[in-house]
Amino acid sequence: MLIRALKNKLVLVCLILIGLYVVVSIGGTFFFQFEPNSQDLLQANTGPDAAHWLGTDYLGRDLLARIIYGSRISLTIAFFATLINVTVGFLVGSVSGLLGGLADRLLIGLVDIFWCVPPFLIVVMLTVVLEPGVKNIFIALGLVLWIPTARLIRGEVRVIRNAPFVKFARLNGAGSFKLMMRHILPICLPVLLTTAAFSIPDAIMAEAFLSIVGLGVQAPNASLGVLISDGLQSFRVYPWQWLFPVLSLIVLVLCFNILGDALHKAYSYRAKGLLEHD
Amino acid sequence: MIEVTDLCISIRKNKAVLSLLKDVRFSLGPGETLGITGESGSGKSLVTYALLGLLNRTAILTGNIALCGCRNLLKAGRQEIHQLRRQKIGYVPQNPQGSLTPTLSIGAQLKEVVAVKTGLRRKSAANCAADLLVKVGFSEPGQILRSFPHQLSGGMCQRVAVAMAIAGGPEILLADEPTSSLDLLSKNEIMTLLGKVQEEYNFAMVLVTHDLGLALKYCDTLAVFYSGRLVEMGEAGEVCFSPRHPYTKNLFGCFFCEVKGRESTVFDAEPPVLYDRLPGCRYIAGCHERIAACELKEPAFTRIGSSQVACWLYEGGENK
Repeated sequence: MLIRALKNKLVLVCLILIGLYVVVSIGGTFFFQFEPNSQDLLQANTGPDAAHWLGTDYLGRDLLARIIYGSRISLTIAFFATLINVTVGFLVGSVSGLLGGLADRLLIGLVDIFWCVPPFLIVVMLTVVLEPGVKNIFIALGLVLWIPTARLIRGEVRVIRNAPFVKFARLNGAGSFKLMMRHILPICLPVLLTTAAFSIPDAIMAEAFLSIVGLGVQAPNASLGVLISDGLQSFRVYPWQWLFPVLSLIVLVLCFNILGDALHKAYSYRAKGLLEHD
Repeated sequence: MIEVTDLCISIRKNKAVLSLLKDVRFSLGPGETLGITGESGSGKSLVTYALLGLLNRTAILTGNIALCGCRNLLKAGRQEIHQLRRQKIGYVPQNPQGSLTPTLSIGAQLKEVVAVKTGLRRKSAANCAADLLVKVGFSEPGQILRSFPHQLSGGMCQRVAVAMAIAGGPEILLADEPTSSLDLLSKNEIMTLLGKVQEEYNFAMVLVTHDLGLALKYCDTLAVFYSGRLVEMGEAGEVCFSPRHPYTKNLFGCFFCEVKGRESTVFDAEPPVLYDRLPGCRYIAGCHERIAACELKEPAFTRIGSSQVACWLYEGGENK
């Protein structure tokens, strides 16, 4: 199924681009000649040229180095936020869906309460309380993103729990644990995978938003959001300082979105109609 | 083997108790087949669910079900029911393709069932699974073991399901409309297969079906349900060719009209709604032969020949 998804050229290009982002952003600063935070005031605000491929910012820092470094921070935040999202969401959702009854009502009640509060309000409050910083941003994001995931997984589990194949497995003597581990939860995994793929761009965007309002990564470090925010201030005079970070954010988010969509199509049993006939 | 006496199933809803099934009684010995037929919602499947112990926690059950050494299934604990399902009771589902887990290969699922039912492990479970597949008529078990449910046809999936059902060497096999989603050829194939494995294992079989032809051909005893009651039960040929209860007459009237290609003249009324039943016979609205007694009280069972009929016409002997 994955192999068939890879035959789609667009998906392949996205995957390669994501790979490139990851490799360059992790290894890039080692072999790249410019330090992201080293200033060269004589070279401030130069446009793209042979020395500085994407130009420099108002302190003369190389923009390409900063974008590479910023992508690393953005990706790190997105990765850990997604990890928290997927873990907590899956645990809460599957426990709630599998147990049913009072436990389900309590858990989903909690989720519903969180659901009523605008997510950014929670994130902003959390980052203010926890102090801005890479670690605290992904904790705050993770603690918000899991809410829809839990509901999604709960719904999925509840549908699968009543599917004829679960009944048949039970009638063939499978115990509750085996039923859960082999016949119910694995079927939720494609949904979880898709959620994860879509959660990464969400987290990147949310982090960018936080940085733009000033609650993000603190100077001199920069994420893509910080770069965009900085670039915005001198947008009319030096548009590249804004344009290049925005472009790289768009490409990154778009790649993950396309990948998520492809994963959804390739793996989702619901999309393939396997759960439909009853 | 199976001895069901006065089984009643009801549920509690908004403090009212709704009766779903009333006064079901039958007994079945090894190697015998009981057919259960009746329209949708008449309680056919409920009987199989009760026999599987699926209703113990959700419904109010009275009466007695004794099967395979368990004196009363209705009072059995979870562990005991699990044990029975693993070793004594096989189940063949209605929707074979939907009844196999889509993410696991046939081999993984079948081996799991074999391991649970027989206690065999790894290599011997795999061998046993392959043997079972050969037994249900696959010539290349290795290939089937590697494939996934969506790669097989409905008939093939049903044969796999039969293999799972017989893995523990059951004493009872419950088949809930095993052929309703299959084409005629696969239907024939599955029924022949069920007959063959029944001969081998000598289990008692309960066959729930809408298909009267099938019931006539494969069942020893036939039970007809209407609106949650057993209305007529007897030797299959007798129920079919000389039905006594007006509902059975209508049912088989329709069936023979269909077989002979004639327009059916049978008028059938909707069965009474669950929560709005009158005290009399439940078939009163559709019955052409009703008498005064029908409106007052529900008829009890009367034994006539080899059959039992619940109809006022036969109260105290053969038709007047």
